[in-house]
Amino acid sequence: MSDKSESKDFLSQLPEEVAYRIITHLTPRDLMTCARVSRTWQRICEDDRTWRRKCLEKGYVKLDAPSLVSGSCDGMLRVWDIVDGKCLHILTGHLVEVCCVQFDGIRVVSGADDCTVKVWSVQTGECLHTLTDQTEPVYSLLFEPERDLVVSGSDTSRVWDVRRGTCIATLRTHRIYGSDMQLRGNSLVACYTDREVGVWDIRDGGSFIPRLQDGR
Amino acid sequence: MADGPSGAKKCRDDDVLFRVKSKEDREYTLSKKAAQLSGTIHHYSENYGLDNDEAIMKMEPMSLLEVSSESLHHIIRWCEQHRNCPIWEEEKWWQNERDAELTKWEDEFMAEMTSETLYNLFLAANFLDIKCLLDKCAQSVADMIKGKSVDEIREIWMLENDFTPEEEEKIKNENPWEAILRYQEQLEKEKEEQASQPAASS
Repeated sequence: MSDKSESKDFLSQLPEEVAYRIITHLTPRDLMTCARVSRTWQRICEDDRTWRRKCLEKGYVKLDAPSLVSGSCDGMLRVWDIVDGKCLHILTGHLVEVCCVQFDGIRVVSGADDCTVKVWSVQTGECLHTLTDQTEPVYSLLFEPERDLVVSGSDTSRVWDVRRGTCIATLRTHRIYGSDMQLRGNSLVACYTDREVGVWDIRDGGSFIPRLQDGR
Repeated sequence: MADGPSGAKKCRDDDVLFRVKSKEDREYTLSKKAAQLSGTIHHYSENYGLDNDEAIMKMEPMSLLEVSSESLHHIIRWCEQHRNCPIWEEEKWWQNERDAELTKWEDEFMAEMTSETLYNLFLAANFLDIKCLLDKCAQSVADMIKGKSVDEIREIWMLENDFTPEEEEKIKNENPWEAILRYQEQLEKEKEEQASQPAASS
C-alpha cells in the first residue's frame, strides 16, 4: 500500500471514534512514534482510552473473571462470579437495607438506609472506608473511578474522595433522589425534587451554579 | 459460501431483499441477513416494523443520504460475504477470528481500495455501523503506519510538523512509556522464545 502517497490524513479527518479504532491496531511502539508526528496525532495517540485498551489487549493489566455485586435489604452485599454463578464474598457492615451499589471491577461503593456510604475491596471483601457524614439515607451513587470520586445522592448530597475516605464537597439543601447524576470535569448535573435540574461545582465545596427548571 | 453453516440456510432467506437507496438516489438490494450486519439498518427495521419477511418485501427503499453509490456497492459486497459470520465481539475486538479463506477475501477487497475510496468506505461503514468492516478499514490504515518512522509517516500522509524544536526534544527525551515499553517488549520476546522452543523440537 506504499503507492498511496496522496493519502488523506485519516487520523485527523475521520470522526474521532473512528480514529481511535485505527490506533487500537497499532503496537505501543508505533503509538509512541505516531504521537511525535503532529499535535493532532499526539492528542489522539496519548489519550487514556487508547492506552487502557492497549494494556488490556496486551495483557499488561489483568481483569479477573467478570463479577457482579448485588446489594440486598438485609444490609449485605454479595460478590458473584458471573461465569459460574458462585458467590465469592459476602460484604457485611451495613446495618439496614442497601439502596445503591457501584462497582469498577476493583472497588465497590455502596449506599444504604443507615446513612452511610461504604467502600469495599472486591478482592479481599474487606471494608476500606465507611463514610459517615451523611445524616439521611443514601438513595443513589455516582462513581468515577478514574478520579476516585463518588457522589452520594441524598437529602444533602456529598462528593467523596474514596481513596482517602474524605468528604470534599457538600451540596446543601437539595434532595437528590434519582439515580440520574452526571459528572463532567468539575460540574455535577443532577435532578432534584421532581422536575428540576441543578448544576454544581464540586471544586469549592459544592456551590450551586444555575437553576434549570421545568425540565427544559 | 465458505463461511458459516451454509448448508442449514433456508433458500427462502435469499428471496427476501432489503431495499436501500444511495446519496445519488440509486437503488440497491441486499439480503435480509446481510442487511442486519448494519446497526443502523437494524435499528431502522425495528422502528419501521420490518421484522418479518412480508413487511420487508413490501418496503420502500431506505434512503442512505450519507452513502455514495460507490461506497454502497462495496458495502453490499462486504455484507453479503459476511452474512453468516458469528456476531462481532466489540469488547474483545482482538479475539474476533475469521477463517483463512474469508481473511484472504477481505485482504483482496481492501487491496482494491484507493485512499479516497477507503476513506469514503470508512465513513460509510461508520454511518451504517458495520463493526467488522470498520475494524478491517482501521486495520488497513494501521498497516500503512506500522513500523514507519516519524518522518516517513509525515511524508506519506503529507503532514506538517507543528511542534517547536524544544517540544520535539522534550517528547523524545521525556517519554514516560519508553522504559515500560522496553521492559514489556523484552518480556514478550522472552515469552515468544520460550513458546517457540517446544514447537521447534517437535
